[in-house]
Amino acid sequence: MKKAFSAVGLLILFATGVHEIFAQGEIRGTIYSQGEFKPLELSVVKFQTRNKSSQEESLALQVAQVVQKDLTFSMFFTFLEENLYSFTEAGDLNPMDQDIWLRTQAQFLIAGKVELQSRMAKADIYLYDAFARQKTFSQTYRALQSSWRRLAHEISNDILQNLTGEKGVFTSRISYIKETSAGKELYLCDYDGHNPQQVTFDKSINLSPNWSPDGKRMIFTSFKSGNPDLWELDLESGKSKKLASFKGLNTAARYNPKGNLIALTLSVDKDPEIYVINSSGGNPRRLTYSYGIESSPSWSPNGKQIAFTSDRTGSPQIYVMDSDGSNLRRLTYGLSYCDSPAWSPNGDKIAFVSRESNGFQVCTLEITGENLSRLTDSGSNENPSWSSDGYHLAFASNRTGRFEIYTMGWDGTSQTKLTSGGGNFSPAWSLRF
Amino acid sequence: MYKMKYLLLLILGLALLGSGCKKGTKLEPAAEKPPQKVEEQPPKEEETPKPVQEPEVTRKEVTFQMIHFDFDKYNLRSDAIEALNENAKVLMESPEVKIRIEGHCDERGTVEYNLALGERRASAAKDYLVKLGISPTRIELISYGKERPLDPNSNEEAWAKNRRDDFKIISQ
Repeated sequence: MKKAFSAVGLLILFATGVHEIFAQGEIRGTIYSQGEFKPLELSVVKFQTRNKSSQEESLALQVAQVVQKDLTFSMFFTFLEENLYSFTEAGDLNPMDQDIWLRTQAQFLIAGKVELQSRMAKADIYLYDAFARQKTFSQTYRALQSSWRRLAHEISNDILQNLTGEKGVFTSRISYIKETSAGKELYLCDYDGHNPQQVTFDKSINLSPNWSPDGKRMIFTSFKSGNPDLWELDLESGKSKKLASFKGLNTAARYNPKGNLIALTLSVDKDPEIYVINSSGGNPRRLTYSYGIESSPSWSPNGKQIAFTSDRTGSPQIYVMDSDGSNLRRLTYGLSYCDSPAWSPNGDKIAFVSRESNGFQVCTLEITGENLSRLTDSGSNENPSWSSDGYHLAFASNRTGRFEIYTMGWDGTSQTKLTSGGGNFSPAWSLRF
Repeated sequence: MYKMKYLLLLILGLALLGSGCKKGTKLEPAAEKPPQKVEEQPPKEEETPKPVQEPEVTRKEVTFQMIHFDFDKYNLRSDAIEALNENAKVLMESPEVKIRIEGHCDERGTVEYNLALGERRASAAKDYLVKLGISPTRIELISYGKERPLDPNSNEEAWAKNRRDDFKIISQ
């Protein structure tokens, strides 16, 4: 297999950070609770270009569009369509440029200048408080021209952090399983579905991918040597190795937040039960003892608890236990069939799927067992996976007749399809790296 | 040539199966279909001796009946018990035969849960055969979850077909 995943050659060579950060962190907490959250209004001042070439003009437009799409996705912002121009050569706005300051209704303005130098793209980005007519952030970005999307995502991360204190997920990636003519293979794409890339070529059935917290490895279940064993793929070298091949199932594996342990389902003692093994594959410790099915462990963000699915009462339900198997309690009541728990990175909620009359639906429930929310309502929806900021979920849905990967906000808003062609399953959202 | 012999054996097998059936026991639809996904079989499958290489005339063809399950269930239905009784008879008559029971599910529910469910289904059949006196060393298990449906459609009929245990001969 070829090199599967190489670090994007993004170089930030020069940075002038104006670190007087406006209202940092003020928004956090409001977007995520029931209160009335009003997104900040932003506008883009059309990006300047250095040489005015058509290539530069189109790149400038594309970078601005990706930044706008990213920041809209974050749910913190809305963009006003104001069609603002600046005639300043630098891309840097003049505080005396009355035309812009009087015309805009936005609270913040994003301006910039884009330049192409051989195969490198350079972007100078400026952020302004439109009321104070003050620059609050400026930075220069450089990347290979072919990695211009990554460059735009970096800009979005910085603007988001500058305005809200939040760390964006715009450079995170989503892994998923794609059905091919030869089997089911592991794929990766950007958080917005761009740059899909096949990373296994096993011509076998590969399932249930999960990221190591450092983003360097993936674990997944594969039938490539006959039994459903646990495999690890090193994303930099593209090499994979068998991590656990206990008799029977080696499935539903999930790294703990530290990355030194893996919780998974083994059936080595006949019944499918939850175990923890070391990240090197050894030292299995059994956590559950119940006749029937125990599956799909999901670690709490502090690594001290594990949510999982059990059919011990006759139908699958979500349970929570300490990571040594103690203090077991049932979380879901009043639903007939629940599975696929995913503990939110903020620790307060568990996303899962509930089998309803119209198919499986993604729901969230607070860890107290209260405030059930149904986030989807059409087709069958599977395998919710949180973004690292806890504001978004990826999931698979067959609402169009075929399974595709989608993302949505934590409250079910902005459901967006990322893949096409059908046969796309089991998304796993990476941390930031 | 190879294909013809295979077909001949298959027909012979079906005939035997048919004649062995009591009232209400229907032929399993899967037996009528050529295996579509042979290329996806794991390497182990290749160890299965090809009937063609055997001294074919005198050998009695060994075949097993599939069993089926209700949605999200791994308890054995009465039709499954009848089929397992027949399968046990075959195993007793051919003590050299070793089998692998493959547990399968319909497409509803997660990959992970269905792998566990398929394991329980295979395990339930093995437990029953062992109770009837078949040595556990003759029976291997594997779960394919919902990964290898017999019928790729999304309807009750397909789902009922897909919730099954297959019995594969691994040595004889």
